[in-house]
Amino acid sequence: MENQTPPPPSSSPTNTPSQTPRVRSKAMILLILGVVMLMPPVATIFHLESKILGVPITLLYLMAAWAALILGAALLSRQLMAISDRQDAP
Amino acid sequence: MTISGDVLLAVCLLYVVVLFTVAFFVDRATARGRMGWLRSPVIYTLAISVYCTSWTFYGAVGSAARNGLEFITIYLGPTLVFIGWWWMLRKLVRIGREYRITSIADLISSRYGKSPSLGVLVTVIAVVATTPYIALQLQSVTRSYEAVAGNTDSTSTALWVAVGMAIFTILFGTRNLDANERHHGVVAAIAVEAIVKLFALLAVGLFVVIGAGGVYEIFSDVPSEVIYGGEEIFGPRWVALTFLSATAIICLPRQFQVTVVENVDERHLATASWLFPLYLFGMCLFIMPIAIVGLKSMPVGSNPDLYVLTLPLAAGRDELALLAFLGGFSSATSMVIVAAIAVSTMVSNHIVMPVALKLMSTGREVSGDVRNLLLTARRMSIAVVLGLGFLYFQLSGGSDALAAIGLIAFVGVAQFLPGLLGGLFWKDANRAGALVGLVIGALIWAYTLFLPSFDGAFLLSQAVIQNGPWGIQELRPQALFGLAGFDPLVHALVWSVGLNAILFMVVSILTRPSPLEQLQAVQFVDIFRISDNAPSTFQTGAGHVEALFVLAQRILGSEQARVLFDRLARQQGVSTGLPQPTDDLVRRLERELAGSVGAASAHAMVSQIVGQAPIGMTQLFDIADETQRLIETSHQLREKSAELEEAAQKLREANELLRTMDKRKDDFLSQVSHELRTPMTSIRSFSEILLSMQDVSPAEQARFVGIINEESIRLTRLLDQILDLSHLESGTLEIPTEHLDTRAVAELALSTVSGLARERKVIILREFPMQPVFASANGDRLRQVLINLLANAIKYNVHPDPEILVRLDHGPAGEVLLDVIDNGGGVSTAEARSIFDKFVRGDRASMDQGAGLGLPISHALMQAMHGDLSVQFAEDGTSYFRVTLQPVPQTAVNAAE
Repeated sequence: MENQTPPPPSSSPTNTPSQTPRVRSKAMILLILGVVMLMPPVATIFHLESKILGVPITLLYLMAAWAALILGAALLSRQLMAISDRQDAP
Repeated sequence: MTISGDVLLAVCLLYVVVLFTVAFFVDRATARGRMGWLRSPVIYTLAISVYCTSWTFYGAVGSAARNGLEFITIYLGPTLVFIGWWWMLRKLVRIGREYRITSIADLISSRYGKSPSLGVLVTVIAVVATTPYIALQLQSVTRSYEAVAGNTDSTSTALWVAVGMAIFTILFGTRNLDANERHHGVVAAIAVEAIVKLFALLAVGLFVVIGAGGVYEIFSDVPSEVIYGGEEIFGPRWVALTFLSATAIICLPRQFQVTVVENVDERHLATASWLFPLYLFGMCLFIMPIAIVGLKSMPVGSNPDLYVLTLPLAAGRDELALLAFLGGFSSATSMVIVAAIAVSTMVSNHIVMPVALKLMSTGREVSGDVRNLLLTARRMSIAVVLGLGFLYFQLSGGSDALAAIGLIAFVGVAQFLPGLLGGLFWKDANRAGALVGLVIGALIWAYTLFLPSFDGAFLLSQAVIQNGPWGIQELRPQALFGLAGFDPLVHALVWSVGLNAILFMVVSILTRPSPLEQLQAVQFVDIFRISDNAPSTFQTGAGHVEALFVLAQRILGSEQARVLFDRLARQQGVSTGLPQPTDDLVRRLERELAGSVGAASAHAMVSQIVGQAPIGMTQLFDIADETQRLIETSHQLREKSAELEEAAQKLREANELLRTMDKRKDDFLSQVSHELRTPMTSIRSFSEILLSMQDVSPAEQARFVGIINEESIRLTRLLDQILDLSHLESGTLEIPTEHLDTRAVAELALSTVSGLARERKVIILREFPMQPVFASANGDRLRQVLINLLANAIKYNVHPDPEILVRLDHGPAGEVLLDVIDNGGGVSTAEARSIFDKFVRGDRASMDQGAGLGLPISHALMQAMHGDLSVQFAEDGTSYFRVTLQPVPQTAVNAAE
């Protein structure tokens, strides 16, 4: 039924049906991953006394998880940009 | 302490001059339409980093020194929002741009039916939460100033900073009432400040790490309590703080200002989604090392909040200390400027303007234009907000309690979250729910967190904080309803935001929204789906346009109003004069004005002029998405049922056709058996006579055998014909065609039937052209068809002087036409339709001489040769047979000749 719904007339730029939900889902997964990694109980697993290269593991883990999230967001942002570009096209 | 107060002052002034210059030139470039690199997403991201105030610059190290890693949660929350929830931010930005939202108070008020009371409430909460925060910035500047330049008069330092910031903000924040409420100069200055503070913090961090002998050395002999705070680092407070900071990045008035209002391009959010977390990451990189080195090397009792400054000073690195001071100064000033702009916009739009409108509507005509009033209101608001901050700083005496104010303010603005998110994603959210939730949430926040933070100095006494009002233990502010044993912050957060959200939802469900609220709900929630054709809520008359023009002049200034109305008129196709008073005009004007005075005020002013008509139910139906979807669905259903009906009709027709064909087949079979039966009967009877009767004369015997033979031949011919017909009809009979002279074939056919014609005394006339007429056909088959036609014409001609005319000619399209015309009466139009069906004999063929298969076979033969056999009617009503043949291309003709 969904694909037979006629597009609303003269609508403002709407989301590209196939792309946006995918990027959205990826962002959603990134968010969930971030929450899981940075919140208890998962974060508690890395709450250890030992150190790597002199840096406490917990601090190292938090910074590494953070950096990974930023990297993920940077990769996603390219796709975001592509979608926004298409949307802005008349 | 080798830096004198004078040098420090000079550096500060120089820095401020740089900021002024940047803001000035950027504003000028913007005014000339040269945005260029200013539209870069990097500038946008740097502006968002106004999140990092001096509370971050100095306070993060202090927090790390006291509570270990916990400080990082303040930056993890915003990181999570930006990396994963950008579409919520994008929705905010889109709504902000579509409806010219000027502040978070404007957004919430607009969403809930342009409610003035909600606007006031949000503004008050924002002012209450922002004032201590501004005081905190003033305090950090004065303390850092003292730390570098020795003891000075802290009051005058704070006063000078406040005044300087007020001047900057008034100059660049209220230069004009931009329809979009954007301040490019301010944003550029904030971006510069963002770079300064990041650079300063990284520089100090690198210096500290290198000075302490590397990372390994720093963490070597640190007890784990220092790094992890308590034993339960990932506990409720960790979760609560992350949630709180995530909320703050959305709800803080200054964040709303830079993220939503100052956004020039939605796509910038895509870059900010990773660049802003990266900026936060950079800010946090060296916090922990600085805190640990500070704890190790600084004398006991020194303020950890100032390690960033005192560590370089202690090492004798004055230039680095100066850089650090500038970093702290820039983070404080950027926060003060943006917060002042954001809060003053709210105050002027939601408190001052409504009051002014009340005054105007009570009859007294305000002589000056509204624009001046508005600008003055905004400038006054900035002065008042900064004055309040200064006053708060003075009254609190620069106490350490101020350090906790950052998180307290976070919980305060977190009260906006339920109403904001509900407004964005939930259509049933209404004004009553938002109002009740906000009021209760704010009261609980004040009671459980804000007032106790004064330690009994303001409103709540120590005794009440300890034992509850009137000694009622259940009402203790920090253990409300017996919920004891929690961190005060977590406690306040759970109660205030929790009750706020629950009341918001419950009241929203239990109360009915007004039509205007429903309208706004749909327009906000479905911002990506609806087009720009929302129905108007106004009844407009021609006389209103002038009044609207005057109003626009008052608010925007005469020049801008003229430009706006000219544009509106041009868009309507009106070349001169004022635009037509359409609903669209009113709506767009209201939107433009909302960019200056906020939606609630703009709505009030415009409806004062054009008069508000209640929204008709039909209009609501038009936009109410649910209804629209219903209508669409029922429309689709109707289309589907029509399709079904059509299909059923086709089926019925096909069924009918099948039935007639079946009947025709039955008829055919009975005809065939009848046709076969007649010769078979005579063959049988004569052969029986021959068998049973011995005394048959030889002459009679010969006659009987002749009849049997004749009948057998007839039978064979009939069977051949049926066989032919079935082959032709099934398409299995291939008839090879060649290019031949039709004239010759016709002559041959005529000579074949000439004997019969003579016998019946039929005269045959020819009308042939002189040259051969070439066509594509099979000679034998064509002759068969012609013989059949001619034989019919001869046999069934009942005219006293029977005549047949055979005419050969070219048709209009070059095709070859062979007409067989007789004067025997022709066929009727009704007959013409069925004459090519099997076993149908024309009325003329009364005497049974053929099986009625000749014409159908001829017809099928002609079709197989890509020609045609048809009945034509002449003008005088007589009919004749026409054989149509495919012509031969001229080149082929030449080759044939």
